[in-house]
Amino acid sequence: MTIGRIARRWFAGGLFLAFAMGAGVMTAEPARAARVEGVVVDRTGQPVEYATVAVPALKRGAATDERGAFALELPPGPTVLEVSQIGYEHARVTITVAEGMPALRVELHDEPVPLAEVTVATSAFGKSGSSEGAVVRRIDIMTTPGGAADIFQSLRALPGLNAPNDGAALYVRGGDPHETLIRLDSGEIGHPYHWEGASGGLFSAIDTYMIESAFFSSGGFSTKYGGALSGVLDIQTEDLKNLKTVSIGANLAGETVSSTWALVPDKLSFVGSVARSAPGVLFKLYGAPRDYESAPTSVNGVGKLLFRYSQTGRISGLYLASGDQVAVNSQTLNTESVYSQHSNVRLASLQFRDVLAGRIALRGQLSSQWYGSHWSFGPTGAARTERNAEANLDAVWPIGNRHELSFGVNGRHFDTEIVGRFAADSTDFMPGAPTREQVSRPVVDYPGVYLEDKLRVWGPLYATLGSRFDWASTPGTWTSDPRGALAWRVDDHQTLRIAAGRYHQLADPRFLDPVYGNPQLAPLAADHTIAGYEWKTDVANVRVEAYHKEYRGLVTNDAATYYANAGRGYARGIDVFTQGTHGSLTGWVSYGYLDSKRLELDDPHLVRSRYGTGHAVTLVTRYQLNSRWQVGGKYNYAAGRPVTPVVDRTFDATRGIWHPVYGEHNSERLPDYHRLDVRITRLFSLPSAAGLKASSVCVLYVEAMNVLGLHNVQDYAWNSDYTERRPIDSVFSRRLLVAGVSLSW
Amino acid sequence: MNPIRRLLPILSLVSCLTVPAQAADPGALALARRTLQDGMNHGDTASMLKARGQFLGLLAAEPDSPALHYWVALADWRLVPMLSGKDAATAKRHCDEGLAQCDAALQANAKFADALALKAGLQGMAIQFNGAAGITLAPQMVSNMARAVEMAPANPRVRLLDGIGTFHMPVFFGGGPDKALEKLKKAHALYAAESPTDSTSPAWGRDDAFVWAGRCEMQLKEYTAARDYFRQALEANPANGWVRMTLLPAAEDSLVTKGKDKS
Repeated sequence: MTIGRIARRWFAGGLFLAFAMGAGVMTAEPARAARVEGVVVDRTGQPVEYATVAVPALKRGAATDERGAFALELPPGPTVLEVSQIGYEHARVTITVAEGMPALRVELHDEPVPLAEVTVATSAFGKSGSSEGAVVRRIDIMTTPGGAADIFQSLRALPGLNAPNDGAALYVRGGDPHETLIRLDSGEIGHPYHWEGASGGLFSAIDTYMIESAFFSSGGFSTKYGGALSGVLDIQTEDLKNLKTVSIGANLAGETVSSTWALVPDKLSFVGSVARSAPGVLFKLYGAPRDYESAPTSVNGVGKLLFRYSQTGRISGLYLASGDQVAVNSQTLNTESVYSQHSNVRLASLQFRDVLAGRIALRGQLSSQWYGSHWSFGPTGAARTERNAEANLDAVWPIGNRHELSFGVNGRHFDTEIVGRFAADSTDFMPGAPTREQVSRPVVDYPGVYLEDKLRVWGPLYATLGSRFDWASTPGTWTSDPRGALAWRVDDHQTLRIAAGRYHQLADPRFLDPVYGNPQLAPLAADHTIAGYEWKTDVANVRVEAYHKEYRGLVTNDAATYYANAGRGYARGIDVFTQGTHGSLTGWVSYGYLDSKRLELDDPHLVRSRYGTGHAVTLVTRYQLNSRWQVGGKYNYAAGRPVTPVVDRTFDATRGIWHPVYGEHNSERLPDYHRLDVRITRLFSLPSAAGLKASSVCVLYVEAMNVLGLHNVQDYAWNSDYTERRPIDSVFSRRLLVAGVSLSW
Repeated sequence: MNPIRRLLPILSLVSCLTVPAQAADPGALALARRTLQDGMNHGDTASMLKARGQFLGLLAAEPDSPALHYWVALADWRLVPMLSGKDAATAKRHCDEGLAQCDAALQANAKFADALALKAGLQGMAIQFNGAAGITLAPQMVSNMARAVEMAPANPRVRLLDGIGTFHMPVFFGGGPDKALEKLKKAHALYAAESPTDSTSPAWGRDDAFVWAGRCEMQLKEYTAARDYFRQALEANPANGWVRMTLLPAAEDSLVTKGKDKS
């Protein structure tokens, strides 16, 4: 026997022995395994059926039966069982396996609702939930009766928005419209309305086609939002879509063309829209509510190019341009003259979002906005130019199951130039009235940082706690805004919420001018306190909220410094929102009661706020007749807006005119506001014809606005000697029938 | 004879003896699949939950198995519509969990068209639970389904899920029964040509393809065709209780009470 053969025999023998031993170990394992039995129960002792009981280290597993019982054959010794079932927290149980061991009892605890699914924020009224609150989707905007498919007009149907007229401006819980921050893709857009000067803003300069969703809050909002005392409207435009669509829409008041175009599937897409409105046709048909020198017109266009550079990362550029003009015979006090105005907005922004290290969601934005407007009325007139810039970086970092940290940094630069002639006497706009020239250009930098933790405190108690810090370069002060909210999920349907926080906002730039204003004006402040209850099921939603908003540092006139932070005020009230679906019928009722008083500008003491109405009710219904036809209606009631009465008059012999003598500020009210709108919508698609492919969803609608033909009063005007007062009707103070169509391919 | 060669049968035997301790037991997998199918046949969520638990038990032995992740997701896909009327919160959790299982399957095998189509199907279901997110889910669903069809044009389950998704999609978004029917007919042909390769392959849905074609015909008021599809569904799976107890009688009843077909 050679050494080689001996070696081979030894090798073969050894190999056999090794495998035999290995096999012995492995095949003997079941023989030596002990049977581990047990039961999985919930907190109340009820069995948890079909739960998974796994031993990952040994790659063994079993499912519990109807009695929650399980059995596993495991080798003796210490090991870890992992027990899981949907709706329960995962449990890890360390055991020592041994022959004859007693049966195990594993208790599973109810899984807490994920942080991302809990809405802690108060006052986020909308149609459907998200982690931040409620949002209004594009489809809601498109189908809200009386909303004219316009985001601002549609929002008027929500509680917290006291709408005393037909305008689009957002009067949030007794606040001035400037107290609401309006953002587009995370950057502030200062002038989102058309015809701001003539009507306080009537329609949006952002075409609905571009809107993916909008988050709206009427108070108690997150530290992410700075520089706003009352509310937030955060609009997100369309995301990347692998579609190629073109839509053409037209109605009696204008037309729009919009398109989504996937340039490189999954990578690069374009979405854009151009809209033009010219209600001249409408006025010819129904008559104009006012005497227009030239009918109002507006044009707006938005384009967005979106590039997805990775699975999680995308970068986009957006450019918005809008313009409008109007020249209308208007009356202020006892003076009738042509009010003419034209304005333009240009907004360019760059956004990116990505996920850092697979955990931190980042969103950044850089934008520049230019706004120019010019108005004239009688002997007065002014041009306003704004050159603003903004940068934001926001991050959301979920830390485990209990914390979600949000933090970010914002930088804003406001540069406002005002050049004009203003009335030296605010009651004299007659020809030859004394005026004063003003040229001012205040510049303010307004950077800020924020940090907020959304956390599960204990069991069903969730909270957000955070603070933001902002620095106003004029007057060179820091402000700190601590904010917090608590949400207690009573059960799957009911949630109680409370929130409190401090909010700051810069004074209007015209008050900060170094010559004509007071650059030492500190930012205005408001403290919010809100308590609410929500009951929500799949088909119904009821929300009730009580709120109190305390204003401090409002701007008042001051003999020595022009303006001072000596004002104050409050707004308190209750908002109720009931939404439901029954079969094909869906709708909501919102009710708001507001009591608000302020001391600002020339108010001698605390008086009723000019922005607040007492009661406001909105009823919206939609009925889906079938998959193609929908009818809907909206009824809106609001108590009349407070106005200051003219109680007497004086004659100015020098000028040969009468001046009004005012009574108690805002002590009268305009007549109550009522409006009923009805809308019929038909969805259809066109077959392929004439070389065109079959269409996508097409919409035909007929909207009857102010069906009851009620004359709502927007303000009062007087004759030359203030002996007669006449009401000025609001824009929609006549029945209007507007038909429109939108075709899409 | 080389001693190593002599040892090979023994080594093979030893190896075989050790496998069941670590890998999914084909018998157990077949049992779980049967349990799931029984649950579907009788509209019994308890059986479906039990099957799901069984799949998860097997997954403990093979945590990286795309097929087992797929089967758990399929159980979730089956469970969501059964639960959503009674317990929407639990249905949503199954929907979320099903999506996570599809992602796990796709992570293990990026070209697993079945899992991608199932993910698209679950995304379609998720729209009902996610309100605003539906706006983003719908295009994702369409995109994933298109990719799945592109990856496996001859896969009948992909075509079936595509057909079901089209059935549920509103007409004005390119869905509707007529368009769904075209896809389901394609699925019928592909099912007829398919032969399952192994016990873990996701072979299911032959009767479902007829069921959904029948439902399309019902919506199109073509009751004779609907009845014929439901009969074919019963031929494919005689135990299908939904067809036997509800759908087929409804089609026959419609033929009697509503008279002739639309055509």
